[in-house]
Amino acid sequence: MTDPSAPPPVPAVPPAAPEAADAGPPPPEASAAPPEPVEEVRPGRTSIGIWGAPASGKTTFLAALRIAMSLGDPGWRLDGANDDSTAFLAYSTDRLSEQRMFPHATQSSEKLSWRLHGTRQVRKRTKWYRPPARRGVTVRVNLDFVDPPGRLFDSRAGAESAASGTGSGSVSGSPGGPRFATGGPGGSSGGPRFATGEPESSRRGEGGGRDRRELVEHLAACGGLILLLDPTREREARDSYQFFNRTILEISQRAPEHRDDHYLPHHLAVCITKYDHLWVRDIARRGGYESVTDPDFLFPAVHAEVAERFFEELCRADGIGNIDAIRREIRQHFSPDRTRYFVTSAVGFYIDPRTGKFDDENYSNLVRRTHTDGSTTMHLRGKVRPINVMEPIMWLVERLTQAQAQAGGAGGLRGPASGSGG
Amino acid sequence: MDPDAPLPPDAEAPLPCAVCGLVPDDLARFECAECGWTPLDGDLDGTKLSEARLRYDLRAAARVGEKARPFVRGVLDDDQWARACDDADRERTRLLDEAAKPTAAPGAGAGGWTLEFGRPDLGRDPSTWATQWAFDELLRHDARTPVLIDVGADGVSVMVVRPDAVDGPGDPWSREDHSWERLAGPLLASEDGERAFQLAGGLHDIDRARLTEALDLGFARLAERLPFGVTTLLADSAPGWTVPGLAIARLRLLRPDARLVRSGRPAADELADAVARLPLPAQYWLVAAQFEGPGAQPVLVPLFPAGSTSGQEAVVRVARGPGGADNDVVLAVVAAPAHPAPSYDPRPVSVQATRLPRGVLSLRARLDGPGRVRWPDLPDVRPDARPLDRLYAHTRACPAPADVVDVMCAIELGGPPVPAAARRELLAGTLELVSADLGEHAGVSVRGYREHSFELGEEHDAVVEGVWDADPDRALDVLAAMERRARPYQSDAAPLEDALAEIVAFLERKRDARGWLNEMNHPPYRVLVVLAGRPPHPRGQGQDPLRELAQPCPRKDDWRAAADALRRSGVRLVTVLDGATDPDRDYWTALGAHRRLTLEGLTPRALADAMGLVPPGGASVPFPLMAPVFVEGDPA
Repeated sequence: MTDPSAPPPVPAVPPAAPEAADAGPPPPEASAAPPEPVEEVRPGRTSIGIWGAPASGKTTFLAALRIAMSLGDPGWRLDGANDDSTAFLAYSTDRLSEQRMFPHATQSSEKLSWRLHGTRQVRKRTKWYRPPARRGVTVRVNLDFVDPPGRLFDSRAGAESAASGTGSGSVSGSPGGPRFATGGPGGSSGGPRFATGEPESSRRGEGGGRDRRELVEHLAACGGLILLLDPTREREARDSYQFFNRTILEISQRAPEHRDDHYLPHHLAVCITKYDHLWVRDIARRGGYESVTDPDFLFPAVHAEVAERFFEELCRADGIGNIDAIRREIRQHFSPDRTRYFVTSAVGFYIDPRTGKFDDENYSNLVRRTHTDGSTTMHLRGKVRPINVMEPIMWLVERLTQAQAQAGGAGGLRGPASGSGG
Repeated sequence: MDPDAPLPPDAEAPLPCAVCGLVPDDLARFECAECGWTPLDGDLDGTKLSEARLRYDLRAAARVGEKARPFVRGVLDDDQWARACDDADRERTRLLDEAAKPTAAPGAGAGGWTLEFGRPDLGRDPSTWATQWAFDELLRHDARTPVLIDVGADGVSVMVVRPDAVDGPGDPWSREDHSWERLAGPLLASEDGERAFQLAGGLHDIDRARLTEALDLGFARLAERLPFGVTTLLADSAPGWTVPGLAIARLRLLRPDARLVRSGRPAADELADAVARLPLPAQYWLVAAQFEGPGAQPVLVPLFPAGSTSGQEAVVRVARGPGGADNDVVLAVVAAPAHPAPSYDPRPVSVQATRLPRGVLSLRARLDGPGRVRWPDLPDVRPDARPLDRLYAHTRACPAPADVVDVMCAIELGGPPVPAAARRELLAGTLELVSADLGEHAGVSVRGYREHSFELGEEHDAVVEGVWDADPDRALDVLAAMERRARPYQSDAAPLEDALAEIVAFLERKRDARGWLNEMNHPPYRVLVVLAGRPPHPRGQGQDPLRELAQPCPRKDDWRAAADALRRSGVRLVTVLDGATDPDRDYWTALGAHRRLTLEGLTPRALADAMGLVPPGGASVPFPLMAPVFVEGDPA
């Protein structure tokens, strides 16, 4: 989710603003606790990297993840792995759900790490004459969130974010926009690891140097990638392809070959964000891609089965941007069997508390507020009800664990202590 | 003539008087015929001559005053001067008293002069009564054009009086002034003080014969241009002065039948007073206006009947018409018979411009005489030179306003503070204009709207405040009381649709109250002005594709439905938009169907004009409206 109001830059995540101080735990940099020793870990085939252009919604996507977990299947839980990460989680959750504002983009150089706990049902191996049975397998996933020093992706996203419209996605809280990239948690965990990264702007030449190389190597080593595409930003900034093009080439250069086909070995979840935006939703509605998925609020959503076709429709509707070029690159580099599309919204739709139902004439959950000094801020009208935020992660978890099981024959995920990747 | 000057060439010619300079004739060589000076053989040191000269000059200078004192020959102390001034005053009084006696006026009672119509101002000195009668009768002599010749300290003024024009807007006489400089040429001094001294009698260096010759020549030319055979009144307004006296004597030779009066004041003033004492020869009317049919018509309101005299008062009930708030109202008094013929063209008497306050006024008119009507209750009254015909045309060109006007205003109170303040100021000025011009004829509804709150639980809070169907002054008070605090706002929408929905509901209530039949047969004039900078919230998400981020109205009010309802109701739709607002969007074309205006530079009168609340083009009714006369117990 992009906040076009471009909130003031903050030195770290969470911001040292009064509301942040009121909201919960102190920001990581304000914490009195000494920084924990960070063990540099390398991502493995079960790590997940989040990838997207500046202001494409990475920060808000992550912040909405915990809310989505709390609203969804109770079998999953997200915890901080250290104080800073817990503070960031608390801050971003409070910012979204309580203050109804977008979290500022992180600029912390500390490694932020979370653990995703859950249970995955797998088929139990039985005799052929016995009815099929399933058993629960405990999943513990480490999510690491690192902003590399040197402002690897010091892009122009911040300046552009003010003009990037809105929708579900990220907030670019500083001129540099979201500047985090991830290093995977290494082989300490048995499950997939999350890593977020952001490609460098092609306009910035070789900026980033070693850090950028490390990031690209990190993304290349991940088993799964989440690509966040903000179609509304592409209508205005038209730079998504620039961020995508070079990074995919560099990943291709570093990624290992897949043993069965010529594609990159990654599993890719393409998240088309800002489904709650008028333009995006209108395309889905007119094309008949929507279906009611939420039994309580009667939210519409675009099912993953038709999301790719919706993406193609979106490319046709966007006569200006280069989303269609991204689509071609995706098809060229990633196997269709290992690629899945999701239409997401981090903040979801507005639900009038008096009716408790989705209103097709009044569903935007965003309010742009202009202050008397001329500045503008984006606010949420109602509660955050993420749409399709958990689904890509769950899909990747499942696909990566399946792949790991097929490769190792273990058929399950190891605990955090067992390590992974690397 | 200087007595010390060299002898004239003719040694046999008589020497001028050493005191007054008069050249004696052959029969009076020993004693001066003017000053009585007799040369004395024993006056070796010239003391008596100096004293004689001092007395002679002092008498003339005292008639004039201080400005002539420096021209007195000899040493003069203040006591002498004071005594001389007293003597001059006494002499002047004596002369005026003599003029007041019937016997002092040669020809009194003859030549058609009578006291039949004389109504002198008995409050003045009795010595003036005869003079007043003379002037009164001069004005009543309306068969011909009498001539008044005023001989005074400044010269000779000839006034040809027109008694039939006494009730006109100007003086009922034509006047021609001949200064002494012009009449006597270089014989008199050019300096004012010295010339006045000479005119009053200080003629010791003036050649009397040449002076008389010059005056005769000038008067002869003057008399040639006067109407022949008309009554002539000679007015001596400088009694006792030598040269004016000489002039009167010479004029009487030219007009032997002229009557002589003496006056202590300029004759023009006496004549004006005489005009003021006259009774009105015809009835006086005030020109008012009245709306008849589609426009206004000038009508005459009786003011003073014929025969009214100075000092009488009349009261008329009037009210200023549309446009009178910032335009002058003309108080025109005309003379016409009590029962004029239909084609009779009333004569203008007094045409004056002023500003009238709002509401029905009881205007007091005071008659100061024919042609003189004062309005003592009005502080600023100025003559108006516009011809009445043009004012009549303006009046007839002024369309009649509706009897009852519904003025509805939707004003955006929020948004950027500068245009918000400008909108308030403009609306306040317009309502003041409405209050001034329409008063209780206008029912004003002001609806100010703020911001929708999109905080949870506050979406349905009321955002519109104001007053319904109030008189303009009350609406102004409500507008002024609306909060001015700046708050955050949405840049792409404001709850105008809420205000419109309320206005539509109000119109429906009003229509129900009046009845459909009444509404259909006598549709009232209704106008809605929207003063805004931001468009209304859309009815639903996506109603306005150009405003993707504009939140829909939480109350689901629809500006399109409201605009359609307003259009169907026959409401005149006017919008006033901020300069940065695009006026071609569909909501503004709908809500400004009749006029779309820009806030910057817009004046309240221009807005009121666009709203149809004032006559188009700034036209106003120049005359006051004739106020209705309310009769107690009248069911109407």
